[in-house]
Amino acid sequence: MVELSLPENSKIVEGKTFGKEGKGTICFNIYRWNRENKNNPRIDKFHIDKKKLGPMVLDALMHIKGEVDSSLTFRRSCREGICGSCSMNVNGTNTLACLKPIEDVKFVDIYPLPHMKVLKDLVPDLSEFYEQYKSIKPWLIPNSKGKKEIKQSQDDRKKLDGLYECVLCACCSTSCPSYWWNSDKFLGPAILLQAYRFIVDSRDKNKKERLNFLKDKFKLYRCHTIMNCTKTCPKNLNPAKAISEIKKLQVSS
Amino acid sequence: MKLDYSKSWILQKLTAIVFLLFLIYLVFSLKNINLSKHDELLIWFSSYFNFFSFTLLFSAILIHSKLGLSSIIDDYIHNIKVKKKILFLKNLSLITIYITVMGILIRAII
Repeated sequence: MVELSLPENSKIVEGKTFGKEGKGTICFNIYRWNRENKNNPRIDKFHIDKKKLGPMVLDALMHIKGEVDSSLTFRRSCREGICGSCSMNVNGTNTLACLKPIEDVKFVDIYPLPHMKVLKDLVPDLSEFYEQYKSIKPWLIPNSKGKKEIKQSQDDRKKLDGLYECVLCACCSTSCPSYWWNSDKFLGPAILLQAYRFIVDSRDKNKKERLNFLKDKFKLYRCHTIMNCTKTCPKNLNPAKAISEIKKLQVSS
Repeated sequence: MKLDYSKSWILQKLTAIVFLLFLIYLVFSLKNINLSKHDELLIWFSSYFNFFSFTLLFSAILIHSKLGLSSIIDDYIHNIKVKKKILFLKNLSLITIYITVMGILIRAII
C-alpha cells in the first residue's frame, strides 16, 4: 500500500551554512546524508561568489568540494554529458550537472535523483537499474556464429538515431511516477529505450524474443505516457516514443 | 505461461474509440428526445440500431473501466492478497452493474 507519511528519520532538517550571503553570491542548497551516522538528511547552504565559479552546476559542486567542504559526495567523470555520472535533481528537474548552466538565479537546490535509495549525499544506489539493464541483454545477438562482418544499410543505421545517444544517466527513469511505484517490476524509460535500440537494430536477430520478454503487464505496460521522461532527458531523447514503438511492434507482431 | 498483456492494451484503446464514437452518436441522437418522458425513451430504445449502439457503448465503457481499474490497482497495490480481493470486488461490481442495466433495459422494451 502507499505510505502517506515519511518515517521520522527521513525528514529533512536544516543543515550547516557555509559563507555569507552578499552581492554577487549564489546560494546552493545541497542535500546531505550519510548512512554511516544515524542523523536525518539535511540541507546545507553554500553561499559562493559567482566569479569563482565555472558556468555549470558541476563546476560549482567541484568548487565546493575542492574549496569549501571536501566531504560533499557526488559522482562525476567526463564533465561533458557523455558518461552520465553526474545525474541529479537541480531546481526540481532531473538533469546532468555538467550540462546544466548556473542560471541567473539566487538559489540552486540540488538533490539526488528522486525515489532512489541514497548511498551518500548526491549518490543514489543504481544497482537495481543496472540489473534491469542487464535483463534486456544489451548486446547484439546475430543468428550466425561466424566471424563474418554484419553489414548495415544507411537507412537501417538511421533507425538508431535518437536511441544510441542514451548515456544511461537514469534521469528519465527516476522522473517517472510509474517507476517510483513499481521500480522492482517496471523497467522504466531508460531501459525500455535501450531495449528498443536493440529491437530495431537490423544486425540483431533476437527481435521476437526481445519483444516476448517485454510482454508482461509490468515490464512495459506500467508506462502510462506521462512523458516526464521525454521532458527531463538531458540529451533531448524521446524514451516515451521508443516505448510506444515497442507497444506497436508487440501488437503488430 | 506468460500473459500477453499487449492484447489488453490494444483492447483498451479500441474500447476507447468505440466509446467515443457511440457517445457522440448517442448525444446527437438523444438531442431531440425529451428524456423526462418514459414513452419517448422506450420508442428510442425499440429501434434495433439504437438498442445495439447503446449496448455496444455500455459494454465498451464497462470493459474500458475494467481494464483501467485493473491497471490502477496494479500500479498502487503491491500486497498480492489485498490486490486479489480488490480485483474480485471490482469485477463483481462491474458484472452486477452490467447485468442490472441490461436486465432493466431488456425488460422495459419487451
